[in-house]
Amino acid sequence: MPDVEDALTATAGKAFRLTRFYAEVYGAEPADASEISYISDSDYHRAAGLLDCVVDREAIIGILPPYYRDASRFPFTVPEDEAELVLRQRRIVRAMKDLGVDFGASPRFLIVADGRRGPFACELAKGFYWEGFQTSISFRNGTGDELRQDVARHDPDYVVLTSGRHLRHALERPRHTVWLVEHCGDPPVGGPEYPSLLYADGVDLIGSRAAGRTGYDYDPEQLLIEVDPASLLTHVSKLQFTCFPLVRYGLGRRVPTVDAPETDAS
Amino acid sequence: MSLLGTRERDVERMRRFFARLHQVSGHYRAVMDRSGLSPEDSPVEVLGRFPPTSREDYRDILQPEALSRLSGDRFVCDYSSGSTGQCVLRLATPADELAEQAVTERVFRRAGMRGGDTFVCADVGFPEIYEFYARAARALGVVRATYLHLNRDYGRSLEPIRRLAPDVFLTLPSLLARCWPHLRSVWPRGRSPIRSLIFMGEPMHPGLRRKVAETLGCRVYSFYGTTETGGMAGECDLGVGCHFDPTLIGATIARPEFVDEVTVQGELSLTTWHLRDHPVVKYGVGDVVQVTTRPCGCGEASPRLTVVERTHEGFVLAGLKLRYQTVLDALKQVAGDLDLLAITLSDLPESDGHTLMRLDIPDRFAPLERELLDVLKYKIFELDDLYQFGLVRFQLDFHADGTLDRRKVRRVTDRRRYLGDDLREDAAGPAPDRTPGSP
Repeated sequence: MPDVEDALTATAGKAFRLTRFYAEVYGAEPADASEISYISDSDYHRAAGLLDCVVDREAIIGILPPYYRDASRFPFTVPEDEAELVLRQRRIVRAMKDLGVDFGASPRFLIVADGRRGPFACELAKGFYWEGFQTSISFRNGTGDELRQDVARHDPDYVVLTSGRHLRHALERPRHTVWLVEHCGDPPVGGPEYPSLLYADGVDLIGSRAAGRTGYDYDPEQLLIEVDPASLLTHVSKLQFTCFPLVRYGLGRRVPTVDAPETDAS
Repeated sequence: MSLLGTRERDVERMRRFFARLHQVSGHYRAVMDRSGLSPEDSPVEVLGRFPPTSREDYRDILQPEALSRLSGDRFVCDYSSGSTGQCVLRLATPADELAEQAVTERVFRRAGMRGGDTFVCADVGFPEIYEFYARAARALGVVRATYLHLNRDYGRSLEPIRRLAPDVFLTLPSLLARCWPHLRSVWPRGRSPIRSLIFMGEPMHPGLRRKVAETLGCRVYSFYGTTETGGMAGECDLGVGCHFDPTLIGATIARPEFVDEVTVQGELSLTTWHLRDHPVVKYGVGDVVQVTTRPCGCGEASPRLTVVERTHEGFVLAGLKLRYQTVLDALKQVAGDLDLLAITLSDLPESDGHTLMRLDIPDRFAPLERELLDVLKYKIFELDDLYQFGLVRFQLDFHADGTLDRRKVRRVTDRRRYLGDDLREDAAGPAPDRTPGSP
């Protein structure tokens, strides 16, 4: 797949030239895909901080909160610029369409978050606001019954659970209206019967999986998703980065995609 | 004139603050060195002679400096422009978040929040602010905390509040004013579950405040703060100014005028003694305030502040403060010799949005109408989001040169109900048109 490899090589070259981190990772500008190493969290020990990993500090307009408030796979805070915010928003729109949202119907969303996932839930909500959808957030620490009561109070069209542990409490709603947030740092949640959104720290939204499907849909123009032949784990590259590059960055698990739906046997 | 703690431990805190500042902030070290100030000096004297920190200092120097200093750390961001029109980040490390949370808990407790409460916040965006408030609320024993997102369809988006039945409700006065036609009839008069309504971000019209208290049967409390300095002060049951702790946030009044023997009025600047990683010294927040040390009838000995007016011509939209000069400077990007315009704010019918912002401009700039509108829609930080959310519409009216008389034109006119220029209780302005079917 020469086009994909060319895009990857160009992305790696840009990251090498523009960030101190990738300059240190590669040593020399990669000439082709074979010279682009698969990296993981541990490689970030080379970075003194986020400024080693960004293209232009002046362009930073915000941060990507990690999935867990007090824990992140990165040893620093991941920033973004306006261009990457726009790209991320496009991924959100693609995911919402994939999951069947009728943009003309003005659906209401309720995001259920607990104390640890609060900032993540807020960032998720903002992605929905930008499409004009009312999206409230319930900051939960209670029981399953209390969650059911909360959902009833809001009576949303969609309930988005940031933690799969809430699913056990059987919301008694049509399954297609309950979305799960799945995070690469955690084991896969439940089966494919619920629509889900796949996230990873530093990437934010990767893709979506409609109910009944085993693989995640994603935007191949923005993200390149590959399997490291040595570890058999999934790695992601941001092909259109402008602020915080990720090139063959390991997600820590195997992720099924629409073009490679098989899952990790373990 | 500054209000400071005077106990030995307060002085020691200030001394450590300046020592750390001198050590970690290149900008403030240079400021201190230029001013002949040493961390070894009396902190009271250091503060007294410390030059003020401007919005531009914050945006152009302190924020980039903080980003460098905290590059290897974990932090969260609050977004502000400091009324500069551009996005500025306030970085908060876990330590600074906890410091601000402690202040916020005290404000909430003073406003009657207690264990077992249901807490609902309502806004058109910025959920991360309310996630932070939910954390402070949980520390006080709140069992249910919800962020209710409002959009242009206020009736529909507010609909869950009856079932949520909040004990404590927090929102912005401008949003409360827009929601009021829907909110006022959710419960029988005087019998809502709301015990405390906390407002922030903007002053509240006395008429609206009275109406809300009577209709909902609740107390109304003001919560004062800024993005750059964090939440700072809150009212007690008596509602006679916002209590604050000067040992945590130092208040300096520039050009003070004594109202009485214990009350001064002047422009407020703040020093964030309680913040470790992104602090400010004498940061001008743009408010003229009265500060009093007169003992409050509630029994709390802390000083109280009351906002008198803004220091500059400006207005507030959904809690976001804009300056006239910010708008003018932004428009000059496309109309270089534009030096005068008039801004008028008025309510829109709910079906049409939230606020109409009309600009009166000399007609020689009429050929640039599209470009000028693009600046308003996309190039001013505060307005960008509000426009995208459908909460503000823009209208440009062009007038023959000479019609806009620099000597007579009023730069900002606010005709919005409960938010307008006349805050007297009987000057509530015309009501926005109601949507069909609303009470």
